[in-house]
Amino acid sequence: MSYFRITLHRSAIGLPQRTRGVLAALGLRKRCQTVFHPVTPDSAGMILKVKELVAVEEVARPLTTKELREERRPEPGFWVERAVPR
Amino acid sequence: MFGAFRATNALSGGLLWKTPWRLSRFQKARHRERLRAVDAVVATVDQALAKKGETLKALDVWKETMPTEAEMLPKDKYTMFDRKEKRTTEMDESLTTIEPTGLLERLECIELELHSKMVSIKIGESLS
Repeated sequence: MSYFRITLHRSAIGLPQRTRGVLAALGLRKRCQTVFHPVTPDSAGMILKVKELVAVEEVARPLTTKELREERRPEPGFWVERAVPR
Repeated sequence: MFGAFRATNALSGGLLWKTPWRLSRFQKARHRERLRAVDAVVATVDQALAKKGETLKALDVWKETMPTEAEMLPKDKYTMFDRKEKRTTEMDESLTTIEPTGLLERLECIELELHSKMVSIKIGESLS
């Protein structure tokens, strides 16, 4: 079972109610929000309706909220940078 | 002429908002990026459905009728229709005439036509 990982990249402000309705049906409420939907013709049709607004990937399983947050965590620690020898 | 009291359009006429008649190359680059993002979404959905063996009419129609970013002509990419404009196109976001690239293509077409005519004349001569 594979899933669509859908992220809302562009805001729906100023768009028709119908388009906003599609986003609501997908469960997308604000920019950069990510949702997962199983790969079906239904979800594909909804994605196509808002293809200008979202970024889509195909993934094997839906990630939990915790895992999504973990993805965004920056790496701890620091790097020592040296000047490039000329 | 110079200095704080010079007569520029904005100072003599008050409010002046000017939008350039064409997109800059950076605007065009970002526009192409957005077009490619849409192509990527369609491609991903297509691949995912193909793996499942499912079909979607909307997707088939889109693939049949809509060109990808690479297939689009510059004229289609950067201009849009405007009924107020005499030469039928409007630049995305602002008024324009025809893209220079489009003009070049037209010139090439005319050249090709001329070339073919010359060839046909030559053939006619050799026959007679």
